[in-house]
Amino acid sequence: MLSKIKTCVLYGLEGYAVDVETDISGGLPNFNIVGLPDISIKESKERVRSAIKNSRFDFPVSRITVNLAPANLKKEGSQIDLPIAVGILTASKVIKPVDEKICIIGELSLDGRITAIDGALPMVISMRNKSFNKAIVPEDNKEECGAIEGIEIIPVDSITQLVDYLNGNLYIEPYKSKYNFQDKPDYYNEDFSEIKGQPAMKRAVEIAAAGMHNILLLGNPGSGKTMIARRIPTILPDLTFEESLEVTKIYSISGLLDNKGLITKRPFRSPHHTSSRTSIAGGGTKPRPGEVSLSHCGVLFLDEIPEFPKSVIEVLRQPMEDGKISISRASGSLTFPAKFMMVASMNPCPCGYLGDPTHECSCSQGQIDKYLGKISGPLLNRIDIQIEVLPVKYDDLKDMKAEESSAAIKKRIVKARNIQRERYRNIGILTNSELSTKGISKFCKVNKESEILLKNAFETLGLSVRAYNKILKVARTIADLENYENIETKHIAEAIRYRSLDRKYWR
Amino acid sequence: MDNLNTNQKTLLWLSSGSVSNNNISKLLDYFGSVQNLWENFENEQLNLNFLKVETLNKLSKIKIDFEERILEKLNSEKAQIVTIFDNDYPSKLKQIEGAPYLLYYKGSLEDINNISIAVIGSRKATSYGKWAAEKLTKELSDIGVNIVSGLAVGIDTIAHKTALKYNAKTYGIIGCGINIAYPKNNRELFKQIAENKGAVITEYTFDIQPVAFNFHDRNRIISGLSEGVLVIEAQEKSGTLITAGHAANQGREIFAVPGNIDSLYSKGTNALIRDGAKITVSIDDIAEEILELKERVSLKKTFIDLGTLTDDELKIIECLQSGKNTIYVLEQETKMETGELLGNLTFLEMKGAIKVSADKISLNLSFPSISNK
Repeated sequence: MLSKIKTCVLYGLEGYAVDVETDISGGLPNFNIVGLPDISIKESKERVRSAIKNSRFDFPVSRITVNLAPANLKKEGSQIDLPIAVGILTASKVIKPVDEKICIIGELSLDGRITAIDGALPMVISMRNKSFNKAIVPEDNKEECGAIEGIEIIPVDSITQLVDYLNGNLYIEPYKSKYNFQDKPDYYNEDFSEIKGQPAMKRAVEIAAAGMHNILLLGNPGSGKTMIARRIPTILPDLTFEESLEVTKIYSISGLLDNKGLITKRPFRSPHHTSSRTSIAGGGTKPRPGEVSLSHCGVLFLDEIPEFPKSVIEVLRQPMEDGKISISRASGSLTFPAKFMMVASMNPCPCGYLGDPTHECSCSQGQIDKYLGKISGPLLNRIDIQIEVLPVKYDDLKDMKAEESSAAIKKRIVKARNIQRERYRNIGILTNSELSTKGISKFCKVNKESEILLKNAFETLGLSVRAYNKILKVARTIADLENYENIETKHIAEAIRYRSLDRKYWR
Repeated sequence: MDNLNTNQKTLLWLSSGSVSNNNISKLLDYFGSVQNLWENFENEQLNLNFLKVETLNKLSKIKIDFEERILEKLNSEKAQIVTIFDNDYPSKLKQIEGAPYLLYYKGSLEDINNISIAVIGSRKATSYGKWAAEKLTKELSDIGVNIVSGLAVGIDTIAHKTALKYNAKTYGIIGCGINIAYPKNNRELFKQIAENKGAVITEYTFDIQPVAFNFHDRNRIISGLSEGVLVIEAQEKSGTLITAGHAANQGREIFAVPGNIDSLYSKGTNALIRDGAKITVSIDDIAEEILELKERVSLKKTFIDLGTLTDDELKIIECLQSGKNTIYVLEQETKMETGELLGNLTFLEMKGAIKVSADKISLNLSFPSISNK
């Protein structure tokens, strides 16, 4: 007897439909899977056998051949357990033939229960796009999958339940998960109001968040660099539904979802400086998204950036430019989205005390040069805002006024983001930081007075040419924050302040 | 250079053989004249027991065809030399004890006898030190004073760069061979100094590496070439203080910029002041000790025209005058938004009125008190 069940395998974030064909014929009892399965699928033989037996069905004592079609596509993942089991039960007539428009995914445990799989969300989205109308998914994956429109999600938790459902003896309500992106509980334990003083740093971070500009914070130890970086997600606008789906897809295939469904909080990733290139960029024999993709739509925080190996920092260049990362392997090339806001922090020298009047700096000039040399020109090129920060003095702390809350800052940022989205509606970008050189000359026009100021700034402050476009982009964001249609001279004047490190450290 | 006279030839030969300045004067005492030294060196070799055997062997080895080879080297490195017997030898330097017999240089020594001030300080300066170095060097440059320093990183580099920016002659004294750029980052600065009619000067022959002991000795040349030594920042035991010590021995004026008593980098300067150095808060203090500068200073004194400043900018200047000089305090005092304040600071910096560093904002020029306006 022959049966055919539809399932799905992933390649990167893209799902491909796969037919599981099962044939039971006479001959010596045997169980074979063909069609380029990888190790995890070959092992599923044992899980399927035990799961069927322990669900009190008979495992056919005959020659069983399972073919995964198309035969030329490499298949991997434990989600194929369940379709194989259903295929065998269908071929041995325990289940009625299954509709071609139903896609089945799930992993089996030996007692016949169906357990959660990685990547359920991207699989279901791909299957919806290939016009399947029903997806049978593990109970534990229902929250993430239930958010998708246009396909019925049937959560099941055991083979017995699934057999009853497919035979029409049991009705399972298609699952819909509820999301309301406007009104969600406050996730964050941290708030901007906890940062005392540091007005210049706060302002720079607000501008960076408003325009998705990459930002470099430089300062002595204890100046609050890490503290402010950790609070950046609290002032970023809420994820939209589309963004949330994209982020959840990435987390789903990485197995980082904790059954709570879609991710609604902006990612904040802070990889340690011992991270390898592959963990940052993504890859491996079975390509996985790296930190750059896990911080998609959120913040990638690189604390002590000169401590990262140079090769690791350099892989950031492509994603910072294109908003995605391509990983090429012998088996083919994959692309993961990686549009993030980079927040980097560093000390002025390896010991951290260069320029601090109260601590002695113990570094040699060679060490300092080497330290600063780790930040290459091309990387610096991609950082729009640089700001130097200092520890708060006790005197300033004493009579501190109440600081602004994250919610208040967020309101301004959302407004500025809306202005940007409206302006760039037709050119397919969302924020000022994504402007190309052509876009800059179109959207960042400056008046005569500002041009003179810029020219003077280059001469007297010794700014490098690479700073020019950055200043214009940042000035555009400042103008958006203050709700000005055109860039005024004062906006340029302020933007110049955020290039102070250019001249000081990398002259 | 096409040919060398006997003095030049002989001193170059001794210097190439790594004979120290001290031993050169012993040799000259022994032989009575340079001419005699060059001609009769071989005959007297065995009596020169203050020189090491290796040095003697090296000297006789390199003496063969010496003139052609050294001329080729000098020309290929585009380096020039001056000896203490030449007329264009810096006159101030001639007066000091242990004046170098031979100097290698790149650039020009034409103006080296004009009034010069050495601006020195620590390699790791604070933002206060950097600001003070830039401000005082600018003011000195504006009245045509030569700036002498040691081409090290930190205060030295700022002094040279500021002098170049305001078209003053500047002289960098290095502690290694003239063909070695140390520190490497300053390679471009070396070139600019030579191009700008200043000079990079050393007493060491080609290929001598920058070892610590050389710097100790080159410091005597820095103070020797100057009328006064301005110490911007110095730690308690530092090369900067060694230079100040040389200056005192040579009878030069010592000027020291005072600093906070809790700052490591002001301990040396504050100690100098305690020991009698002139406390220096503006160029007037320097002019008071060096008479020729007095007139130049009174002619040059600049005030920024208050009419060119906006009301907001005046408000900031007023706060700065009363010592409120951090962004946080300024924001509270002026009631400006952070962004607005930062913008105004850029305008003021462009006008040359202030200097902004991360920890504080400093006034650059003398302002009449605004509250009376």
